[in-house]
Amino acid sequence: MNPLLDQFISESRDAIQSIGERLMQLENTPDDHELMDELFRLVHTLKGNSGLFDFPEMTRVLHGAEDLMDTVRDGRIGYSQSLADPLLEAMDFVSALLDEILAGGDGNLPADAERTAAAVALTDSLRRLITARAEQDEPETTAAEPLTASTPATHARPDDPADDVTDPTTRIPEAARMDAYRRMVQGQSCSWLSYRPEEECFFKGEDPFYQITQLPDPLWRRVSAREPWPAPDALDAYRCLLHFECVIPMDPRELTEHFRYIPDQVEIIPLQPAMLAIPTGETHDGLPVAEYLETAKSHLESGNHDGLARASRLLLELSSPELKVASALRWLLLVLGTQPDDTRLQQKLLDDIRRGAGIGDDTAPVLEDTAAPDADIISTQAEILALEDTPPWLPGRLRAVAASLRAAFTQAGQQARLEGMDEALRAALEQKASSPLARWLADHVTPAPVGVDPAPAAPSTVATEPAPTPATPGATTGNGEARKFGRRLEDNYASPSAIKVDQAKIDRLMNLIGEMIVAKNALPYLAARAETVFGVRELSREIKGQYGTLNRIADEMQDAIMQVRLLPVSFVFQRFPRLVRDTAHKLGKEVRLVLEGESTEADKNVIESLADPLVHIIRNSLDHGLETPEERRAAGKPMAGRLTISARSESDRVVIEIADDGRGIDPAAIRRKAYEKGIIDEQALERLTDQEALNLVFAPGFSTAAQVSDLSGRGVGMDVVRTAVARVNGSIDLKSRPGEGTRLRLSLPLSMAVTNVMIIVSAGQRFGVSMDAVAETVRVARTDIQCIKHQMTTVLRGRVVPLVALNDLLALDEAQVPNDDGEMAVVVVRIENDFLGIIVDDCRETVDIILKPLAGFLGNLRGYAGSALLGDGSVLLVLNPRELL
Amino acid sequence: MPKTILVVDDSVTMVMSLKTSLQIAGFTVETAHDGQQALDKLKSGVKPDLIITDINMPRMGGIDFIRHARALPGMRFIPILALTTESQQAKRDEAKKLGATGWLLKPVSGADLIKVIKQVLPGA
Amino acid sequence: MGIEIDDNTLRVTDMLGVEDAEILLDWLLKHPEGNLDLAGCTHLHAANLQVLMATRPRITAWPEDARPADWLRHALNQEE
Repeated sequence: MNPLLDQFISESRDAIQSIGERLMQLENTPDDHELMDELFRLVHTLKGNSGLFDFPEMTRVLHGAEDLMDTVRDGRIGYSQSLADPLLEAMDFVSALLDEILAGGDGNLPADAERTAAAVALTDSLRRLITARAEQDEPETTAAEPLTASTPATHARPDDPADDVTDPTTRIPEAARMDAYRRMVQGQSCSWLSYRPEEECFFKGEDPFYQITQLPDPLWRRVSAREPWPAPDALDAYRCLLHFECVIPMDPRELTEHFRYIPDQVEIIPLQPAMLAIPTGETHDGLPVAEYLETAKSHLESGNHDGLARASRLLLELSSPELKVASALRWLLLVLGTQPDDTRLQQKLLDDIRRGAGIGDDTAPVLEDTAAPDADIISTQAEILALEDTPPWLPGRLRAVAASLRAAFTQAGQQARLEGMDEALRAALEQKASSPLARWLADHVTPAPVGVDPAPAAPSTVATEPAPTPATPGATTGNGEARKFGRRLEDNYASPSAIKVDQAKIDRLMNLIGEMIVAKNALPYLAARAETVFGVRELSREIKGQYGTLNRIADEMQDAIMQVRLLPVSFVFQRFPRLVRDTAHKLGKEVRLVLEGESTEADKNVIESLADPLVHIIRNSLDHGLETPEERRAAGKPMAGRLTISARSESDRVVIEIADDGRGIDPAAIRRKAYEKGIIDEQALERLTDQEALNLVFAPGFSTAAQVSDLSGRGVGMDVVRTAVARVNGSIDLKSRPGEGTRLRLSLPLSMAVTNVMIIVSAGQRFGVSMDAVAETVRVARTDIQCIKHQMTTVLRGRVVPLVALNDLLALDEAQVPNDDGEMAVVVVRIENDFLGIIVDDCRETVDIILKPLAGFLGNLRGYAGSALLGDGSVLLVLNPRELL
Repeated sequence: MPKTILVVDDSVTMVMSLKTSLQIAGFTVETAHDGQQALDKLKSGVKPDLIITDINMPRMGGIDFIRHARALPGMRFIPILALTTESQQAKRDEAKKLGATGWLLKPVSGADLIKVIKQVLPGA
Repeated sequence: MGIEIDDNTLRVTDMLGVEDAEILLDWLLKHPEGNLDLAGCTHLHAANLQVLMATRPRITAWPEDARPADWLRHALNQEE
């Protein structure tokens, strides 16, 4: 798996953990804004990170959660428990996805319809809360657009005198316009751009000239100052006065995208061929224009392009090039050469010439709709105005629409019909909405039916809204790349106060220290050999001295690594508030959870092994121990039950207590049930003390609830808990008073890493037995061993103790060997509250060992707790008495 | 001379992702985990050619960081990109007003990242 | 970084950064008849462009790079 994904998973887990905690805290302090901010930040970060990978379901759900948190944080909706539930559910979902990703190993999450559906449903439930609550909580303010509320007011451009609202295209020289026209009829997009960087822009890291030079070569350009340049010695180089204008062979959408950070500083007009065909120049006189128009009219009507072109060229030769009529003729020839079927534009140019010559409009226009501006232009503008979104570049879009309309009407000689448009534009800009302009357009202009005339081959549906940049999921940081640069990733990191280390690395360190302890333990053997075999007592003493030093260092190292492995119990405890809350919720009970001693530390393995048993115990307490509020009130107790989970260290053990003030356990009921289930016989039914009866709940197959509850497991009883605790050399103890409550006490070793074992010998082999299990070792004379119903027993201090031979337990076909005095060595082990004597051949010294679980198929031999390497290099098998029986 | 970019984000994952992409593209990368640490780095003489900063961070968020950074000598004209998400338009506008040059939308793909940097950093 | 001064000539070697605008303006104020050699200029920050437009110095060599050169010519000569 690549390091980035590793990092993501580890960081996400932490974040989910923290989110859960913050949500719990918020339930108590729903007005804590700092907490709310932090919560938002956590969700936000998680969502942002998830986008680096291709986990669409995760991103979707987190997006919903983020939006919900955003609404809560802004105070648009209040925090409540009903919000916490779906948020917690969302985190559970993400957590499950992380597990799945981790299990997959290759960082992929194969598509899964069910998962997708779950994500959609979850996201919907989050979003519903936003809308439902927002309407309910603040019916008046929802109309306001919260996102755009703080958008800086657009510069009062309509009042800006420099912003000439006349058609900007007329400022472009004819040659450039013709160039653009030619490109556009060939299908290329062209735009007119006006870029006025704001005066302070350099102080925002902007370089307007760099933005401009990145564009393709313009067809026309102008760089000017928005006010006359001051004298050089009065110039402030850092107050930007530049104004760039150009015609760019570029799609307006791309251009808008290029200037996406500063939409209010640019004006972009998508150009259309017909907008550019505007004759410019001096008015003419003395030319045979009337005759020309007559001929031209008949050629146009009969579709004689060549005749029209010939007549036009003839007149062009007669006129001086600077004249407006010459310009119109050049345009006419260009249109004839490129778009011979665009008779409307040709007619329009002829009309221009007629007007310029002062010839009255009595010659009726040839085509009925010549006077109407290009219907396509108008309908396109109407479409643009009808777009519902209000992007930040709305002002630019509005101005572009107005400019296009102006050009269209001016070109048709209908400037009068533009009346009121400037006011509408101003209103639209002030309201940041398209509607005033759209309304004006609808009222003043009835768009001619589209399709009367073949539209010019222009891209007639140029809409100015840029397509949103498609999100590109998936990190480009490939596996290999990330590794290749992996080493460099570490440099320069700000050093945090704590580091995270892979468990495997700690384990390795642990193993190495274990080996060192073993190696160190070989020194006394060596010393003994030096003395006995080689007879060098001096050397033997020196070796012992060195051993002492090494021993101290090894002990300290061992202690240090133990410290590293220590985790506070809060690691397990932190999930209880949520568990208790959810469970109580489902059961309809009220519970106050009290956690104590969360900073108590123990070995990581011990802490982790605690998690499942504790969850089980807590569920049991909530389900069976605590009463419903009604029952409690009837019993004269506070409505809310109390569940206390506390941890503390006691010498080398950590003690965890789970106490509730519920109904307690009735020993009589336990006895009866145990009897009914055949766990005890009639005799035991009467003989058992109350405490002994209580302990029956740990018996396999015992379940106190009349019906197996949905919550505390299906037929899984406390025996599972007891087994799990015993597996880490822990013990469990139950106390209960009917009507007052129940208390479970778990006692666990602080560390599992080093085990003190007693070495015993049986059938010529050495075995280890954990000292935790050993109550005492005794010598029992063979004559003191009785056989009752095939069961060997003896009496120790007035108590009958059953005996078993280790060789029998291990299925070794050998008799146990007594010592010279005919006494058998017996190791008395304690299993729960019972004592059992194991007959062995001999008991030897005790040693500290690093216990390793048996690997491979040996791992299934439950009679062994594991193995350890001894100082002389031999392997010691350590017995697990409980499992042996 | 390779350009130096300061990346500020409280998420180690995000920093790691950006840093890797930037280093592959040949940039030298400095990192900080919140605005305060980034500011301390700038004050201690780190002189990046461009800054990329997250908005929501503990201790000092991106908006405050941009404001403080702009007031430092030598940081008046530096391009600053804010790391935001699609939904944070208000934050983007605020960041822009206070001196950000532009923004990056999370999730940032390596190609987008380099494209945007090339657009705001001459000679990159 | 991008400025070399040689007697009465200021030579731009690669990029003129935003901070260079003050140096450029200062030099042009002190050398109103100075020569500007932009041949090696690959880009100049807009602040420098403003300085050139406001001071109209004598440019002895235009940038070899066509893109800044075209824009500079248009900005300084205003050819339409």
